[in-house]
Amino acid sequence: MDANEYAQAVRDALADLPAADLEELVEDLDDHLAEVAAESDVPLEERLGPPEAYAAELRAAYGGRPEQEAATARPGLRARVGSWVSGTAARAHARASRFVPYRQAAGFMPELRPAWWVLRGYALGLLLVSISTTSTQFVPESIGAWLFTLAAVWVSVWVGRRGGEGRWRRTLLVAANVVAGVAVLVGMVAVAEWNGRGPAESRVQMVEVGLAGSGVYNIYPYAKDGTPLRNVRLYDQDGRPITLNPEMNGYFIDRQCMQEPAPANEYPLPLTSFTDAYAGPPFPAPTSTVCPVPAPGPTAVPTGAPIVPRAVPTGLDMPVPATPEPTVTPTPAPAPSPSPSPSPSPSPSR
Amino acid sequence: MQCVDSSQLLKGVLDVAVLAVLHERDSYGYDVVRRLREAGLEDVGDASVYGTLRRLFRAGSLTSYVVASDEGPHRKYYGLNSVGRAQLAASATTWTAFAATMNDLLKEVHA
Repeated sequence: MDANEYAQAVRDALADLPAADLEELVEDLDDHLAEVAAESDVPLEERLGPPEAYAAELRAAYGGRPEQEAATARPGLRARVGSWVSGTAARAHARASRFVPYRQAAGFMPELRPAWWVLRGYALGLLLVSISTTSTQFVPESIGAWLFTLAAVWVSVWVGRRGGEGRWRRTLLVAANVVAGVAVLVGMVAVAEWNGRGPAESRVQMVEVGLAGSGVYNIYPYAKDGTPLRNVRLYDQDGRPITLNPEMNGYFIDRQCMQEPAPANEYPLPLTSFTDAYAGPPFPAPTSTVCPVPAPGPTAVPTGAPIVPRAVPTGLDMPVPATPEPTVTPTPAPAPSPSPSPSPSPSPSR
Repeated sequence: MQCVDSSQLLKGVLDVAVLAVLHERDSYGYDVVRRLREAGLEDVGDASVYGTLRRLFRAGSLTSYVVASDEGPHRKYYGLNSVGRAQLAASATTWTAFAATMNDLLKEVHA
């Protein structure tokens, strides 16, 4: 039996110790025994006695719990399963301890404990805040939430420093750790998802016009000859979509009327008023919703030729919006209309 | 009545003995064993010393650092910190008083 085998046998004999104790105790047993073995050719068993006796002496000197404690009463199934699990874990740990990187990692793990206490308090605090306010928060969003979270961190660190004594406290602590661990994982996944789709949407800055008060909540573009235009996308000089805020005026964009989701700057907006949608018969047939029939019918175009957009700036030194490709090309009616017809296709000026 | 056996006595004072050896100079596990034996504590068990070192370290009385060695395994050296020194001083006082009492009691036996 060489030093490693002897150390392994000692570890096996101590496998019933709590994993943390065992790790503490046999941390550098291999090196120690190698040192002993290097001194003479007499086998370790002869010099130190059987590994089991060595383990018992170690246990006594270390002041751990006596082995007999568990052996006096026949342990229940749960205890046996528990000790089998922890024993297996301890043996796996002991085997892996032969590899230096593992030993090093296992060595600095305990130093990371305080970091976990802080994270645990933060996660549990925010979890409670999120539950009580029914809004998911990854960062406290109010002074109260901040104070509560900081208090939770404080409590968590305090509990961590005190350690869990007593069975109930230990069980509670394990439960809290599990809940916090799950909360952290779920939170991380949620943040990752949110990050994944966030930029695409949020990078697009919108220009919102027609704020409450102005009363503008929809735009009906017309060609010069009075043809109503549809699906016209409006952008400002920087290429930012121009959007309205119909919700402020009691309307919402009726997605039912769309074949595919259209951007919020595509006019006219298919609006439905809240009162139409909810105050009507209990089951408003889907067909009854008012799909985009521009309120002022084309025939009703006042002579003053309304809102003819000063079409897309042509020839001006302005950044041209990246995307706009008006799908509707207003074909001017064959009627003899004066020449300078607004060409809505943004012609790159440069 | 059972006779006093030196290994029983040793158990009570192993902590002080180990602390005293380390007070002299920092040592690694097997070196502590060797020095205790050289000092006359021949019955001291390897496992007892190793376990005692680990316990004193866990209790915060010792510092430890690893020294790489060219030929053999890495050695974990132990040394006293302020807690350990205070512990040694207190134990030494206790031991001296205890030893004096025992010597007094046993004076007649040898005389």
